[in-house]
Amino acid sequence: MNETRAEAGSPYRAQVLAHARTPLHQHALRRCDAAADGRNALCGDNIRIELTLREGRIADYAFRAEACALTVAAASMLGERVRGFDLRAVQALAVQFDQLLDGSVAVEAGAELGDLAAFAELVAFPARRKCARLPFATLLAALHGDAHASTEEA
Amino acid sequence: MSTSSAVAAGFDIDRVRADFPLLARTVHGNKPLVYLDNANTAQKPACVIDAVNGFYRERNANVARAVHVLSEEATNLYEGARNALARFIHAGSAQELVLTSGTTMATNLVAYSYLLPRLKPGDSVLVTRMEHHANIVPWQLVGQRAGATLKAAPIDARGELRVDEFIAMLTPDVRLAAVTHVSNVLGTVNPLAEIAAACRKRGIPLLVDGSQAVPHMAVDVRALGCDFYAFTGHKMCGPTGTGGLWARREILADMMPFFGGGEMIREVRIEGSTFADPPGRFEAGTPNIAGFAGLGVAVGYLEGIGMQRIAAREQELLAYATARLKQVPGLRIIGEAAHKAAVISFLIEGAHAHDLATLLDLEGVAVRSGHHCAHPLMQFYGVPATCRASFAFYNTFAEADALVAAVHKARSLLA
Repeated sequence: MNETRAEAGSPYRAQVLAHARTPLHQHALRRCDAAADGRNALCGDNIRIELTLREGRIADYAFRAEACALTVAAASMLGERVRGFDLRAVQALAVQFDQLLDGSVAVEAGAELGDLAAFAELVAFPARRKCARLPFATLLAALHGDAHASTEEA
Repeated sequence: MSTSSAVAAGFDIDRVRADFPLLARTVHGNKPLVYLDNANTAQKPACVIDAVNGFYRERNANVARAVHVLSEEATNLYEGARNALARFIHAGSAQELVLTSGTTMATNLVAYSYLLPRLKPGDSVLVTRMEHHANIVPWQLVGQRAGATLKAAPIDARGELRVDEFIAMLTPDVRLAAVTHVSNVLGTVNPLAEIAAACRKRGIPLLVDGSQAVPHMAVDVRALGCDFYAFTGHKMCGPTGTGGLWARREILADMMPFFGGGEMIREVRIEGSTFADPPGRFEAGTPNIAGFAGLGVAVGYLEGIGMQRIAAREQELLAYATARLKQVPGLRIIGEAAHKAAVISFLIEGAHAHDLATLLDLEGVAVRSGHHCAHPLMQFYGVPATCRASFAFYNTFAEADALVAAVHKARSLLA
């Protein structure tokens, strides 16, 4: 029995676990033009996203997190997608991601999302969606010039 | 693992489990449910469900308001529950028991009816580091109004109250001490006799939060020596929205009402009203009659099994599950008091509590993850959240095994 693979229906798909175990872009940036701290206090998820910007587009992306596997994996996957994106492109991607999480868009339509499409199983786990959303909210905060973000309701 | 042992002898677990319809369900496809979130809320036996259902089907009427037969039956059910609960916690009389929506309502009642009129600037309320928010926030709210403060006695790393420090903090500014009987996160059973004696010696009233004690052990409020005892019904196999506040008669008699309305008055004039005697004085409006009909039956159900036997079985489950969990590499148990209830909070190195709980849930094992409404305690341990498995008498050793197997699997995925 392979104990390291989660069954179908699990939010911990292989891509999610791979990104959570060995995250990409997990470091600090030497040159940081924008940054924000995301915090879900009730959950205990903390993440900091730093960006280097070139003409309003993301040239470099890095994060550091003390957070659950879903937040870390989403932050890692996000870094793979958003280089070259401006605010509007990130917003458009965030809308797609939200639709994926609440099930209003079929998974195939999530091609733009890349590995982030692996979060489709969160449709069945509404209590955990805020974990996967936190990196997006933090990235958007950084691009808006806000210092803080959260995906927990007040 | 066999369930046979000296203390659990005569405990027919199969029969007990058959009393709880929900325990037979499956989750996530075909996984048998392993319900280990009993400190959050307990499951209900069929007799309790039937009592609630039966009330609405055959007896629904308001209490103490009409002379017709249904109202009399409803009143008898409601007062019958009060009598059963009073007997269950060994109150001096049913008149010492205010029926509330739960512990939170009970602590708020004490905060506004008893404490606030007596609070002066510079006064304080003494709690402990391990309290649930329901035994912290009401004191802060009335404290802010009166210019009084809240202070918390420390605990040690094992999760035991530093009783010496607690007693040293019982200074003349303390208007109320409020302590949990059993910690909902750590399982710690506090040494109430010692605490109560110290409070009494200084003339400081003591409130005990019994939410996690009443469902799991025989409680004798008078023997404890406290002044207030708050508890909730839904953790003791009763319906949600039920609970109670016990206080000595002379204390209740000296408290003004907090909620005003119907039922709690003697006479109402526009110029002013006079109030009913306790406990009715504190029970304004139509109560949760159906809920108390169920809670009265829940008390009978627990008494039928016997609180000694319930406590003994849960201690066996605790010892067994603790020993097995300790064999999981990287697993740390938060709360290792010498005297504790069947609550096990744990963390696994490299795994976040919510990931663990979700992975356990996928295996059919229901635990709680998070801060357990005890932020100050989480701050003490420097963790944002823990996973908590909490047992009831209807849990089995096989379920403890299922928990451990699921933890092993989750760990292999995450850590």
